[in-house]
Amino acid sequence: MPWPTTRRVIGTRVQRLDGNEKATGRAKYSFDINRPRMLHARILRSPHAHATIKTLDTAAAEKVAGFRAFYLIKKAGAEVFFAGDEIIAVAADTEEHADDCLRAIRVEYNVLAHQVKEADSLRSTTNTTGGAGVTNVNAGGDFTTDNFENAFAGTAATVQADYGVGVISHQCLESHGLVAEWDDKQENLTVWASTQAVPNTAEGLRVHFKMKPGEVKCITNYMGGGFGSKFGPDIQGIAAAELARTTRQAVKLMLDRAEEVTVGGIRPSAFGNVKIGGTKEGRIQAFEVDCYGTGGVSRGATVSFAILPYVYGPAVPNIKRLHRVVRTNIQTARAMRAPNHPQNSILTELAIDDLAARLNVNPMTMRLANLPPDDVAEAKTNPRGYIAQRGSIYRAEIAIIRKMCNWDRDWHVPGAQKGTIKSGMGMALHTWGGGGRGPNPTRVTINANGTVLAQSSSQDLGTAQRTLMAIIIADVLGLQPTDITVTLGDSSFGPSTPSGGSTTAPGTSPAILKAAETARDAFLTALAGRLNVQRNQLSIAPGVVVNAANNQRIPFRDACSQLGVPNVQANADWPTTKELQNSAPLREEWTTRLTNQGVGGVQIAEVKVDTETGIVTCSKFWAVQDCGLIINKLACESQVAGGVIMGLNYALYEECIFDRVTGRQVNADMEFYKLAGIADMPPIQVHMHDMPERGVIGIGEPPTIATAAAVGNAIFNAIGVRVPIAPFTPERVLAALANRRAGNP
Amino acid sequence: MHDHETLESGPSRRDFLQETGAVVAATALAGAATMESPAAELQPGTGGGIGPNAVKITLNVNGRDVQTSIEPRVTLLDALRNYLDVTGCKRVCDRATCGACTVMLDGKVVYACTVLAIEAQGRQIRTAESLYNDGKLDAVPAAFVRADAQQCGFCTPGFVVAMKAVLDANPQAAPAQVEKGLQGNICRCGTYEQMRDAIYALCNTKRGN
Amino acid sequence: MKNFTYFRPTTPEQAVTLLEARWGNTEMLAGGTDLLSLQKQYVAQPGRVVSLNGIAGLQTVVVGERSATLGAGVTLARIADHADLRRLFPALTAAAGDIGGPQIRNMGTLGGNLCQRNRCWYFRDEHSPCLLRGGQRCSAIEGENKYHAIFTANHRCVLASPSTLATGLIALGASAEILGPQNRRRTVELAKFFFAPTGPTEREHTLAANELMTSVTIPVRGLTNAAYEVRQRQSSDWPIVQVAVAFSGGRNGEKATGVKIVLSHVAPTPVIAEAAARAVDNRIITDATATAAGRAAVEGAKPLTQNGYKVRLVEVAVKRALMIAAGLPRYWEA
Repeated sequence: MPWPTTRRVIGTRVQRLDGNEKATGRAKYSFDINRPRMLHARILRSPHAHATIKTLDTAAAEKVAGFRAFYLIKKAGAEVFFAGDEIIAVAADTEEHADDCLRAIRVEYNVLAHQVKEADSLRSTTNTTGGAGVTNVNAGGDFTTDNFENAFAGTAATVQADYGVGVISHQCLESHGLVAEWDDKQENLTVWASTQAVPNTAEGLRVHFKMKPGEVKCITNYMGGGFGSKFGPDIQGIAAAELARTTRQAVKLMLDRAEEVTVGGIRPSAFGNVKIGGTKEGRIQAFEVDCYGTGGVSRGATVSFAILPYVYGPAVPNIKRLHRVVRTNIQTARAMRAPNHPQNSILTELAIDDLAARLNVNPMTMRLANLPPDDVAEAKTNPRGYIAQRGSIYRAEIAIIRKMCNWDRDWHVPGAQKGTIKSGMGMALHTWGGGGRGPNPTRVTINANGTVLAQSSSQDLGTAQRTLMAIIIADVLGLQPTDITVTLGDSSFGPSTPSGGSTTAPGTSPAILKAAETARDAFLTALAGRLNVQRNQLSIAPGVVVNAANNQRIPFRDACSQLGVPNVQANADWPTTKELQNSAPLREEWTTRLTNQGVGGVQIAEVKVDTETGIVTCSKFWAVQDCGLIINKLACESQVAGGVIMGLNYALYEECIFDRVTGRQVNADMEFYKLAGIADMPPIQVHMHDMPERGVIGIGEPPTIATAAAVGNAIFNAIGVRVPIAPFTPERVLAALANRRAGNP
Repeated sequence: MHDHETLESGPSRRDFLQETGAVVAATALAGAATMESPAAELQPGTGGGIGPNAVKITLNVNGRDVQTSIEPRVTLLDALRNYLDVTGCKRVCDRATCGACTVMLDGKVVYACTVLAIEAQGRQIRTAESLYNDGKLDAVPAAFVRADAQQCGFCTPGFVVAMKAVLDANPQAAPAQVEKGLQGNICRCGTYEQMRDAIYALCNTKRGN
Repeated sequence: MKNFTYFRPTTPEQAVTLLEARWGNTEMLAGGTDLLSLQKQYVAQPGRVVSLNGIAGLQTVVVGERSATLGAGVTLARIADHADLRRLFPALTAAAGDIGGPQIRNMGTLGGNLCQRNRCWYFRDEHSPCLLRGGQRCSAIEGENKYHAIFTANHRCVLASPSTLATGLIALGASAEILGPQNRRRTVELAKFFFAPTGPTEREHTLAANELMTSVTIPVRGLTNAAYEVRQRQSSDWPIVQVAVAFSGGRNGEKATGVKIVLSHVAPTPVIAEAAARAVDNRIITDATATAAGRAAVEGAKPLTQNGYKVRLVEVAVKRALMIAAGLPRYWEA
C-alpha cells in the first residue's frame, strides 16, 4: 500500500474544512459548551509558594448564595509546593457565585521557605520542593567523550560564555478545563474537554472513578491550543467530574488566565556555561558545557541536555556535559512544542556564532563545516530517514535559504554597520523526530446517497487534522475534500494516539489511506457485482467511476446510488506493535515508506536593533523545512510560520517572572507576559523542502526550534556583541552594549 | 423604563423563542443560573441603585433583542457566553488585553470582558456570529479561511470582528490601516503571516516581500 | 469580582451626590478599562459603582481660539482622531493614538486616563505586600522592578505613573475642572494634579473621593509640541518611558523658548524635567542640544535594582521628542 504516485489532492493547498465555523465564532469549543442546568466551578489555590495547610474552614462558603458543593483536593496538614497548588474546588449556580464561595473559604497556612529563582535554588542548602534530597539540586546525567583532557589543545580559537533562556508558559488561549455531565443513573460520564488526547482524557477519568471501559466519553470538537500541555483530565477535570456527580448537574470548570499561566504548563529554563573551540577552517573540535535548568517542583520534568551540542553533535569529536536539575517552587513543567530542543538550540547555536566571529569565519560556512554526516549504517535499514541523509538535507536546505535571503549579499561582519539602527542576520538549524505510531483506527463509509463519512477519535488542535483526513480520502476516491464529512474528537469511536511530538499526521495518515483504499475497493467490488462487470474493469477517476467494460464514466454520486446496499464501510489501523516487530516488510512499509521520522530545518532571521533603546525588531524571516510527504501544503506553511512566530515570542518578548520574596509569578497575565501582536511580526517566507519519497512526517514541533537562536545570532551580527539570555529584551540588549563600551569582552 | 421599549415595540417574546436560537438558549441558561431573589428593574437616571441582586436586562445582540437576568457585576462577555449562549466571543485574558472577546458596540470595537452587561443595554452588540447569514459568509471571515489565517481558531472571531470594524468604517482602508486595527488582538498559534495575506486580499492589494 | 450596587446618574451634580468622602466603597466607572480589572483582581472591592456613562455633557469637545475644552468622558479614540486637536496638540493626540489597541481607545476616557491606578504588578496582586493596599512594605523596591520608577528619592512606593496623556497636557499648561459636593467647582492645573501615594487612603492624584473631574481645558498658545514613547511592542503595550515636550518657536532654525519637558513611567507622578528644559531653553534644537537635554532629564535619577536601563531610555526619549517637535529628521526610523 504505497502513497499514490500521482497525487491529485494530497500535497496541494487545501483550505481547512472547519474554517467558516471557527472564523465566525460558531464552532463550539469545550469552553463554549453550555449544558442545561449547568453549574460553574472554581478552584481555591495556595497563594504561597511553599506552605502547609493549617486549617481549612468552609462553613461560611456553604452559606453563600448559589453554593452547591465542594470537592476537597488537599486536606488540612497537607503541604503545597507552589503558588497555585490546588486546595479545594467549589461548584455554584453561576460563575459569580462560585467566586463568592471561594472567597468565603478560610484557610490558614504555615508558610515555609521557598525558591523560585534557578540561581538561588542552585546555591540553596535546603530542600524546599519535597521528596528526597537535602537540597533542590539533583544530578542530571553527565557525559564525557574519551580523552577529553586535551580536547581544546591546538584549537585556532576558543570562546567561553554563558547562554540561556528562562521559563516560559504555554499560554493556551483556550484554558485547560472541561465540562462534565453524568447520565441520570450516574453510570456514564461525558466530558467536553480541551485536550490534545481525547481517549487519554476519558481514560484518566475512567481510572479515577474506577469505571468500566466505555463508561466515560470525551468529546473535543474544537480545541483552542495545547502546545504540549493538555494530555489528560488534570486535577481540574477530575474536580469538575466529582462535583458533577455530587450535584447531579453538569459542571463547567475552565481555568482563568492567571491559573492558566501558573498551573497550565511551563517550559523548563536552561542556562549553560559553554566552552567551544575550533580549527581555523571553522570545524568544531571540542564543546564543553556546564548547564542547569528548572522544571519547577518536579525532579523529572526538566530539560534534557543529552542532545548537546544540538544538531552538530555527530560531527563534534570532543564533548563534555555537566548537568544539574534545579528544582524550584513553581508548577511542574510540561512538554512544550519540541521539548528540550529550543533550549539546546540556544546553548549550541549562539556559541557557534561567537566562535565563528572569533575565527573570522562566515556563520554559514561554519555550519556547513560541522553538519552531521549522513549515517551510512542507518542507510541500510532506513535510507529515507533523517539520520541516513541529514547532512545532505541540511546542505540542500542551506543552498535554498542562502538564495532566498540573499545571504551572500546581505550578511556582514558582526557589528560592521554604522548608525543608530543596526541590522543583522543570523541563522540556526534544527531537527525533530515526528514519527507516528498506532493505534489510530479509522473508518471510511461510502453511503448510497453519495456522502462519504470519515471517523476517528483523534483531535484537531488547529493543525487541520480534519482536513488532512478529508484530503487523503478525497484523493483515493476521486473527490474533493469538501465532499468528505469528517467526525473526530470523540473517544467513543475508539483509541487514538495523543497529539504530541508532531506524531498525529504520521500516526493517522497511513491508517486513513488504508481505510480509504479498502473502502474504495469494497465500493468498486460491490458496484461491479451490481453492474455485472469484473471488479478490475472499474476504476476511480476525478468525480467518476470509470467502467472500462463500456467506457462509461459514472458520476460518483450515481455510482453510490447503484450500490444496492445502504453503504460500504472500511476500518483500518496500523499493524500492532508485535506485528511490526515480527515483520520486517511491515516495518519497512509503515515506518519507512508510508511514514518516517526525522526532519531538518534551517532558519534565518533579519533583525533591526535600536542601539539607543535596546529594542529589537525582527524585520524579515526565512524558513526552509522538510517534512517528507506533504499532505496539505497550506496547513504545512501555516504550521511553519506559526512555529516561527512562537519562536520569535520567546526570542523577544515572553518569560515568566517570579518574585524571590513572595514566590509568586508577577506576570501571570497577558499584559506583562508579553506576546507579539501582528505589528511586531515580520513577513515570514516559508519554503517547504518537498521529499515525498520519505512518507509522512510531523511538522508541529520543528519550525519553532531554531527561531530564537537565529534571532540571537542576528542581534549579535547587528551589534557585534552577544546578548546571551533570551528573551532578548531592551534591558538585556542595553546591558550588553554597555558592557562592550566598558571594554569588557 | 425606556430600556424595555425596544422589547415591547418589537416582536413578542414568543416570536423570539421561535426565531432565535440565542433566546431559546438564554432561557435554558437562565434556568441554570437560578437567582436567589426577584430581579429588580433597572431605573437609570435616578439616585436609586440597581442590584446587587440580579436585574432583568435586554441586550440587542446581532440585531435581536434578548433578555436575561444578571447581577450588576456581570460583564458583557459573561452575559453573552454564560447567560445567552453567544460564544463566538471568547474569554482568554479577561483583562482587556488579548482581544479574543472583541465585539462591536454601535459599530465600534470594544473588549466585551471589560464592559458591564448593564451598560451595553440600548446599544447594538455585534459578534462574529453575525458574519454568517443564511449560508452567506462575510468577506472578512472568508478571507481568513482562504488565507488559512487561523489555526486553533480561539482568537480568530476577535480578530475577524476587529478587522470587520476597520473595513466597515473605511472600505477603502489600506493594508497598514487594517493591520493597525488589529493592534489590540493576540494570536498564540502565530497566524499573522496568513492574516497579512487575508488583509492584502481584502484590500485588493498585491503583497510584496 | 465582588458584586455591587450600580448607579447611573445623568448629570455631574447627581453623580457627585452619589460619591462618598472616602475612597474604597464607591468607585466611578467610565470606560471601565481600569476599574473592572481592579475589581476582578479584588484590588478594588466597591460596594457601589457610579457609572458616568449616562452623563451626556462629559463627552463634548470644544475647540476655541483661546482654549480647547474636552469633557472628561471623551474617548481616547476621539482625541486621537480629532482633526483640530491633532493640529494644535500633537503631544496629546499622538499619545492617545498610541494607547493600547482600538478597543482600549474606544473605551478609555480622558478622565479615566488621568485618574487611572498604576500598573505595578504587586499593587495589582492581592497576595503580594503593597503599601497602597495597607501592607507593611513595598514589594517592588527589592523585587521585580524593571518597569518601576527611576526617580525614587523620598518615595516609599515606587510605582510608575502610567498616564501618557498627562505629560502632554502638563507640557501644554492644561488644567482640570473639578466638581465637588454642594456644587463646589474648582480648577486645578494638571501640573499640580498628581500625587505620590503611600497608603490605602490615597490615590495617584489629588481628586477627593467625592469629587468628579468634568473636563480638561488646554490653552491654545500655538506651542510646538510632541510626544515620544519607548515601547517594546508596536502592538498594544505600555511604554517603558514616555515624554512630552512643548515650547514656543523651536522650528526652522528658530530658538525654542518656554520649554516644558514632562516624563511619565519614571516616577510615582509625572515628572516635570526642569533641568532638561533649561538645557534647551532659548536655544536652537539640534541633535546636540536635544542630547544635552536628555542627559539633564535624568539628573537625580535613582534607579532600582533592575531598571537602570530606563535612565538611558529617558535620555533617548527626551532627545527624540524634542527632535520630533522641532521637525528634525527621525534618525531612528532608518
